[in-house]
Amino acid sequence: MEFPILSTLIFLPILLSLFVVLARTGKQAKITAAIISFTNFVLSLVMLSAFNVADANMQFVELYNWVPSFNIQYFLAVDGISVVLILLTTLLSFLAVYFSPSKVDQARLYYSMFLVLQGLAIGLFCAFDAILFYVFFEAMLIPMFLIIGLWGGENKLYATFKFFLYTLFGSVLFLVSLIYIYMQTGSFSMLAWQEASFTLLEQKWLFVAMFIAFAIKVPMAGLHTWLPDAHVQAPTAGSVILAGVLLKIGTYAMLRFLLPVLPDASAYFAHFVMALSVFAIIYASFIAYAQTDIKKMIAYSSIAHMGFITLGIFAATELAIQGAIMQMINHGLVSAGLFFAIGVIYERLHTRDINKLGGLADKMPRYAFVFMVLMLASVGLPGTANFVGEITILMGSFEASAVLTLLAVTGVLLGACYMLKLYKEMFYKQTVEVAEVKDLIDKEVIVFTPLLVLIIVLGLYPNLVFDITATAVKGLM
Amino acid sequence: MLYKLAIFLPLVSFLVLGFMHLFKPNCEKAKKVLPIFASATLGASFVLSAIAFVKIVVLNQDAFTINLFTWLNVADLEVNFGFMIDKLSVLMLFVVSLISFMVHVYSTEYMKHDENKVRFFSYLGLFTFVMYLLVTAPNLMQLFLGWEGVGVASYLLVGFWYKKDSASKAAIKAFIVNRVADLALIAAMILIYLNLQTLDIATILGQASTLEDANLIALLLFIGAMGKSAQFGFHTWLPDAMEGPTPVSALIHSATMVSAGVFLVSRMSGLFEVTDILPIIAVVGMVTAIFASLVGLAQKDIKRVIAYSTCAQLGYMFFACGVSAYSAAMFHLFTHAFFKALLFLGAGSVIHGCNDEQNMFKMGGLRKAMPYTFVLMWIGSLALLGVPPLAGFFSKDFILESAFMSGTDIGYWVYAVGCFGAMLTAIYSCRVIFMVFNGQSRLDENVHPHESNKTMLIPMIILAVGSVVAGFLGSAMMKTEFWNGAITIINNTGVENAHHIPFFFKYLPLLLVIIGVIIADKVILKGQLKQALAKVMPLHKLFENKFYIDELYGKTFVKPFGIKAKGAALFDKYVVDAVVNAVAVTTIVTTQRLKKMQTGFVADYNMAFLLVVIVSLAVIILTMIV
Repeated sequence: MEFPILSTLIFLPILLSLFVVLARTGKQAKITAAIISFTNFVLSLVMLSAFNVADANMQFVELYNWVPSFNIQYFLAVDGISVVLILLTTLLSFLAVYFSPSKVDQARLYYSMFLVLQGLAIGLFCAFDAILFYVFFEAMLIPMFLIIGLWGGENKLYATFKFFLYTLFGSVLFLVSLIYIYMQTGSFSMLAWQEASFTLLEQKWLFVAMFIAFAIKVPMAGLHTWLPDAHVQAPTAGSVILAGVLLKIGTYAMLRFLLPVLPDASAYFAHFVMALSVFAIIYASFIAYAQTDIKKMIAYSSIAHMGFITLGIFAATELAIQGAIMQMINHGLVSAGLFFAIGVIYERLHTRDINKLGGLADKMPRYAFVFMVLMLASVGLPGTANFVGEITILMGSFEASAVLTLLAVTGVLLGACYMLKLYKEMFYKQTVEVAEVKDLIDKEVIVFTPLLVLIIVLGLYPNLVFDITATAVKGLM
Repeated sequence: MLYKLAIFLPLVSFLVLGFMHLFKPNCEKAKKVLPIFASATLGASFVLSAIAFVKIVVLNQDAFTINLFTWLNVADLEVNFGFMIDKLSVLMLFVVSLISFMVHVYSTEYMKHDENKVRFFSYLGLFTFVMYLLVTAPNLMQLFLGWEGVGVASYLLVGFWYKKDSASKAAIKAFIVNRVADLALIAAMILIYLNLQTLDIATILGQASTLEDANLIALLLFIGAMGKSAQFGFHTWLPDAMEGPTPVSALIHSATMVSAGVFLVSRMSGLFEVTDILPIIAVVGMVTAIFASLVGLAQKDIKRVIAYSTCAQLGYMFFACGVSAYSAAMFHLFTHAFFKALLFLGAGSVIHGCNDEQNMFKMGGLRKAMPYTFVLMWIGSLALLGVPPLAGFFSKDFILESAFMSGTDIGYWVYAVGCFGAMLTAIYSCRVIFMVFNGQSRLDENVHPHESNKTMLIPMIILAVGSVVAGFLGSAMMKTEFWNGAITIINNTGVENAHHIPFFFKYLPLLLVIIGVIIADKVILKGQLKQALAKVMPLHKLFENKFYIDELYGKTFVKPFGIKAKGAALFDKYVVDAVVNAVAVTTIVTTQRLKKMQTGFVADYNMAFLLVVIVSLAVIILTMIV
């Protein structure tokens, strides 16, 4: 028997979080958690090195009966898409833990929640049994709920319940769809489902139900209002994981359930979803421009950037889907970086209001540099990873819809409008005098370095990602 | 290796200085040494570029492409990173490295007392590097990387003195206006990819005649070029960009970055030649040339006059492209780089000598205090005016001659507009010199003008020498064969017959220039024609306010954008989110009402049970009857 690396990746952080609970001080809890999540990150690199990019089959398969009477299996496996998302998860989880202050209330619970969340997220990215997927999908809500609800800002309860109810609403529809498909196919294996054939009417109903569930997670325009509230209330590390990892679940699920299982309905609704995506890009960008809370601004910019991803997925050309997956990674890195950066300033000045910030370029040159790179990546400057993602999505989508693609191109401009404004307000504006602040400390430099390096490296050599995902994406065609 | 080293040296400068700026911000020694290090690096890069220039341009060696690595290879899209070494790119490499080197040297003195000069020099290195990438790009995506890269460098340098609110605003304006035009470039790339599955420039040009959407693609490329080269409609960012330190204006906003648009059109000449949009290019060039010259007549700020002059000269280059005289456009780009950089550095010398005063109405009589700058500014201006035997005479007249001899209607128009523009050029150029150097001093009392020292003068002298000889040296560019296929001209009657132009038409531009000088002399030095001027006062106001185009944009784009953004934010909060919250509230209210039914009394439940029994009975009976 092969070494069960996927189970290890999932359960190592979950089980070892017990050690965090047993820690004596907050600092000890933090160090323990950091070691565990770093180990898991290394482990995910080991998995990457063992992964064969040319093999079109699922790899590292772990298949056991779980509930035989309903044909539910413990079915773990990965393809290229899963691999890159797992790597993103382990990296960001480690950075989030490492960045968090050791003086947080109930540190032991706090750090163990991040470990549990990490394990569940990895589980979701490699589950190929629909019920197992659903379990991870739901279970993730709990640690996130606690992270926002216990360590959030003033209005945390409102935000937590909103986040929870929104997602739960989608989950119900998702569960019903899963059960219906099981009744028709007699299996919960997501691979078996790809062979199933449904009538167009069935597909349409299933599509609508599942699409709502996933669109809430993304979130797409109209179902997005939980996100700004959740971000504003969440602690820094929570925002990082939320934006970096949790938002990818929606688009990942679209790639696993909608395109392969319901191909006809996906084609039928493609234009609608693409239009909604483009609407999100433009609408959210406008809203972002009017925000004065930095976190809200970045939250809305996330909605706009996720619009590019859903546009690419439903354009459904190889190039566009490759671009969409690339952009999932990029958005994970850049939005994580931006939320860390907001955390840096909030810790020092206890405000996120751009009207109360200014002149930071002189006071914090290193911070200004980091923010500059993140900003340029966020506006999709060539040389950063985001450019590669956006341009491949746009090139790949043009065939599917010329008009929508051209409208999406304007998003490139709108992004620049609010990000440059934000930068000016925070760093250049001289009318507001802020207190003396320290520039980035070593811990923060360590957190930002891998993010910035990856943003530039993937911008100049994106095939590090494209090569891993290529085979899996070809399989989707 | 020669080329790689030449191109990567500025990157080294950027990285070293950037690192030191971030991690050793307070090291005094570094502040002294690093600017010199940066200049030396650029000097080395210039020497290597000059060798390349000799090899490729002078000795006529074959063009070739260096492949560095595969940038991206996904689905059926493959893009390589590399350098396309041919006459066009090496010529640009030479110009960019030379001007950049001069500006580096000049800046070691000009920025001597600036706290952040290490940051300044690192940006200069970044700019030079991405500009190199732009001009040597073998495919459109790398070109776009350089294209947006120089945009960022320009943003950073214009906003270098960000403590001035006007500077950071100007920086944003430069970036955003350029981005608007860049959208067209992105669209062009998408269309080309869709048609040819490649972005490789050589392949695109090879298949240009079979390209389906050639007209649309060429138009989009041209719109992109208009943004970078500040052509009419997109010109608003360039004058504002003068907020940056003056050496930056000399490097980016006169000689190199702004000419990237002309470079793009020349690089893609093989595509433009097979389309119908050349007349559009010519018209845009003409409108810009006249518009910018008129506005330049009435500006107070010395740098803004030169900026509008740059705008106008870029217009000349574009209308040259519009009549298929790409070689003339490139030739003018080459000579223009020398004298326009010289003029900017001269303006910088004046500004530096007058304690950062830029308003020409507060200068005057500086001839005595700054004799060298005075002479150098005259050389630059005469070269700009096209007075023989200076550089502008060769290149500008070549444009006009090619246009005239092309024999088309648009060609004659270009000739006429070009001649008229030449007269305006003479007026505004002389106005600058007369106002700054002649007449009575209008300086503030506490300002004591002084000549700049050698470090600033020597680069200017070198550029002045270039302004004198570049015309002779570059005249080989007039021949189409010279370009070795780097430029394609299908209809070459104009360019080939340029030297057959009748005597009168050859010297008409010069005559108009002399008239222009006389007008400037009468109006500004002698104060005559005052009454005539009084009559055109409203026009003067129109010019001074730049035809109110900034105001127009403010009203039609900028302000509504803010309002729409606010509107969207309010809509999201009070409509979309309110609906969501309303759903939640309705649920709560409904459940609270329903909750009241759970009274806990058996009697109440009995009542409910009785109701259910009766209704069930009714249903059963009804179904049985029906």
